[in-house]
Amino acid sequence: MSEDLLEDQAYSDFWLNKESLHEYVPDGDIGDDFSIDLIQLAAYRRIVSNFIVILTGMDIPVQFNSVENSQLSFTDGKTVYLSSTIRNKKDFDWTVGIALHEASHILLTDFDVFHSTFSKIPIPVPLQLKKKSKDKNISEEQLAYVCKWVWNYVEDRYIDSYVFNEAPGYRGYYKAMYERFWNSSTNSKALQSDAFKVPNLLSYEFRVINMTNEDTDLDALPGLREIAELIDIENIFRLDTTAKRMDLSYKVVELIVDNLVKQEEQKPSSNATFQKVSEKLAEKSGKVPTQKFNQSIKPKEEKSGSEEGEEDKDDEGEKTYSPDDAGDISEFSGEELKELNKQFNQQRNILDHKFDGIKTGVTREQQSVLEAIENSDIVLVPTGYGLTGDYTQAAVDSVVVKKLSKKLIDAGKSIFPLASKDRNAPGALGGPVKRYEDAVIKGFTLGKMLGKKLQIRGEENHIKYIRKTSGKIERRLLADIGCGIEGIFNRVRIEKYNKLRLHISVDASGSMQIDTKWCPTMTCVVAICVAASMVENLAVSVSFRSTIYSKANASELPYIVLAYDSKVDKISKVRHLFPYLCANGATPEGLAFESIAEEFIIGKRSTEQEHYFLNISDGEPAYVLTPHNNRYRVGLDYTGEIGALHTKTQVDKIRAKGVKILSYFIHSDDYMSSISMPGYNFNQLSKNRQLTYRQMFDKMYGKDAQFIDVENVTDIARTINKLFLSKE
Amino acid sequence: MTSDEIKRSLFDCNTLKPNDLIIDDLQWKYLVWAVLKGKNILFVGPTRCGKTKAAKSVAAAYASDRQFFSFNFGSTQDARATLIGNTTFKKEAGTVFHPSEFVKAISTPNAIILLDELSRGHHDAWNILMPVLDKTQKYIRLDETEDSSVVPVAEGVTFIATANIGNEYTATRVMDKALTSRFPVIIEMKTLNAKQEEYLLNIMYPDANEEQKKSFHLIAKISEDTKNNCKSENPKISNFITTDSVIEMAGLVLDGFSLGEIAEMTIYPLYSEDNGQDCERLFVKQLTQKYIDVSASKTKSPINDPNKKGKVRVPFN
Repeated sequence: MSEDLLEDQAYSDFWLNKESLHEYVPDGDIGDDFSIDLIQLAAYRRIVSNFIVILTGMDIPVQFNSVENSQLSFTDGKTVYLSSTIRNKKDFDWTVGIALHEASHILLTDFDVFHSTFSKIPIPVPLQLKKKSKDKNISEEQLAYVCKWVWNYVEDRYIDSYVFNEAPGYRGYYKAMYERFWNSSTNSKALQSDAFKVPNLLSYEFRVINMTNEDTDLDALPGLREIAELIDIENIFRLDTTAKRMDLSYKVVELIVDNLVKQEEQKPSSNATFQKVSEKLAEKSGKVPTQKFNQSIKPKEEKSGSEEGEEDKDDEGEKTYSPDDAGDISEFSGEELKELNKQFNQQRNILDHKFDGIKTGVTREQQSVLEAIENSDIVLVPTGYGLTGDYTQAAVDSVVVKKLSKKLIDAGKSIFPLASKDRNAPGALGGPVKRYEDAVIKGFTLGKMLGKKLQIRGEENHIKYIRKTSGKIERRLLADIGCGIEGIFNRVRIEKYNKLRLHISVDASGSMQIDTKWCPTMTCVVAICVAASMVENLAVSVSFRSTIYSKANASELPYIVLAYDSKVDKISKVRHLFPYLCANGATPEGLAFESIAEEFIIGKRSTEQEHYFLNISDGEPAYVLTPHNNRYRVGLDYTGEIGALHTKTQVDKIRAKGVKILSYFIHSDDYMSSISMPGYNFNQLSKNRQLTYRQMFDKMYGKDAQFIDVENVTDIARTINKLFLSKE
Repeated sequence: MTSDEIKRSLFDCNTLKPNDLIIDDLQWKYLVWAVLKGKNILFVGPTRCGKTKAAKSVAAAYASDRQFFSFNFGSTQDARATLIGNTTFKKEAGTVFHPSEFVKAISTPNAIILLDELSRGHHDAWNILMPVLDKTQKYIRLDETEDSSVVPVAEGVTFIATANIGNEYTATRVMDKALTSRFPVIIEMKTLNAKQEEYLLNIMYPDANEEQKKSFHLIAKISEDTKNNCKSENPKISNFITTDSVIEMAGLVLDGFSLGEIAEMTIYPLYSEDNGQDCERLFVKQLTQKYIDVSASKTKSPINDPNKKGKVRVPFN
């Protein structure tokens, strides 16, 4: 816990607010069951990548770590990979810290030098260092490892100092990162203990890496004080070139080697044989093998008599030590040792940009879903202000998908609830259901007819008025001047239609029965899209509204997908993707309108463009939000009067912005009429329900409500033409 | 002027440059040379980058022996009336022509004439200017008839125009090649970087204390970051903080506003909140935090200096 902030504050509070992400970030730890988290992760990625852009000024790609079992962020010099384990608001701070750290590597670290130096063993080190290492029985592989972590350590301290000074406002993020990875109580205890006091490679690695911890003990190892003085962290800015940092690193390594007690000579063993094989393989690929010798902290093993005898023999010349002996660790319990090991490995991984064996992250499957989310530009929009009695608080977050793609459809119901596939159809992942496809094909046929009926939109009428007293001179009237007639001018009145932008919002709730409502609706929508593609000044966009189940919130959330926009999409998108769409979920009508009103329905206003909104639905809003401990502590019953009134308010707001509205009521014989049970008149019940829906529909849309057969092209053309030609 | 005289004038021309005009020495030298040679000069660049100031500064440098006239084409309603003049009828004198101020200006030998905001001018105005600016014609015809009087451009007259073309500027009318080619000297003004803006603020507010100067530095850095982002391949924001805004913010610093308050009042409202988590305002808040988050700036360093006794934090304490 940072001492500079109050318990419940985070540095990210500076920019987190209810308009951005605050509403979506749970305050407490919510565990692994964070169902909508992939959408949230996409949002986190955008926000964290903003920091990287700001810090580096470069458009560095940001991706979530796809490596199984990964918790940290790292960079390969071109891309920053982020941790996917953000579980609460405070996780932002250290995540941003480490992302900034990795981004500054890209900015300041010469990765070419890094790769050329450490990609092959033996690495190019000063001859003197090489000789000293050999004298201490340090293999070339071990020397390469030491040089690499020392160089990374110096490099890291340099780039961190750079960011501390260049971006004082971001210090908090770094502090959170250091507190988490370097200044933990476990590390402090280890530094103050008798552990890591054997002058071997492992001890120097631990003590140097943690040298900036305030509990460091520079007398724990010989030469540690000289190393601290040599690095001179207070004046780290003097190392302003890669060459200087590299040079210093070699000096530090030399000091370590000088002070190392001669280590045991490596004897051939089964393990060593395996290492040789892996080395050869690594050499072939031009890479340094990973973990090549055991460096984990483990209890000291009792040595056998014969080994002691051998050691005694060595004592005749010089005492030797195992390179991985952690020294006296008797004061640590097994759990503490485990924790210490884990933290030490995390530190090494940060230095080495290597992240194996940590915690659960994003799986490959999730990564592909995440990519689909990002490609589809999914965002959460707070909606329903006032519905719970608090006008400053959104009742629920609507999931808005700004771009429908095939990848999103393939991603599955957890992300795209409106997908429907026939698994038996040709294609690796199946194809569209036949009757949905037929409805779309029919729409194309009707659309071509509708397009001809709507072509009046492109006409331009010029009416010339002559004998005016001002305007342009009418040549043939010039002779009239001689007669003292002043009306020799003309004026031309041009009547042309403004550009039109029509947004169609379709109710894709489960009540839209396939044969009687959904398919006719799709035919109608496709027909309008096709017609619009034939008319020059008419742009059409289509969105579908439904709900998606959020496991984390144990409830449905409103879900809106912008499926087609004629300004950016080709009509072929309608042909290829619309057949995959089906009706599913509830009807959060007004909430859906609220979430897309500004961007899709009202859009950017101009005097040269008129905006129209066509709603297609089959009745009243029906949606229930279950209260949950995490995000939505207050539930919402968005049915009956509440839903209708809220929808009416949203419709009125859209109308007040100058958008002309038309609303089609999709009516059919209710499914109840097809049920036969003795004693019930289902036909009458169905008629009563229809009547109720119509009344509700009238209430919400007023004079804009239309009750038509959506498969009748004449009806559609008549109502749409009437809408377009209506004057204010 | 002879070649030697011009050389002498250019040798110490930097002494004529006012302190609060931030322009490259070479650009200033080129500008002075163009004025001395009577060339037509066109300043281009984004809004509020000092085009008009540079033009006025060079005119002021030669104010003792060269008269200065300024015409703003952005506010010109009637091009003919502004550039040529009006004809009125008087009972006693009959039809009388009143030449415009512009006609007087071009008739004044060695005048320096500023055609400000030329890119905002009407096409009619550009057409009238065509023969005036053309070095082979250099006249203005007072009427359309063949025998109407012609006013020649006097000897040594220099035209300096400013226009928002080039760079990232996308508004206003696009000036046609025929007009721009009449300006053989084109000087591209760039937006000021952080150092230049900080220097400017220190000149403008010399009484600022150290703390305030530190704030000037941070404001200039924020402004520079917004400019850099706007220029990047994938900008996250659509407009940047202009030098004028920076000067306004510095004024607020002097009047006791904190940087957080200044950002809240003057920076954030410039950026839209639309588009959920992708909104420009969120990005700008993240950007400003880099420099002005007081709670973070006062955060103690997590790095302890092992060479010092006790808890000595580096690189900041």
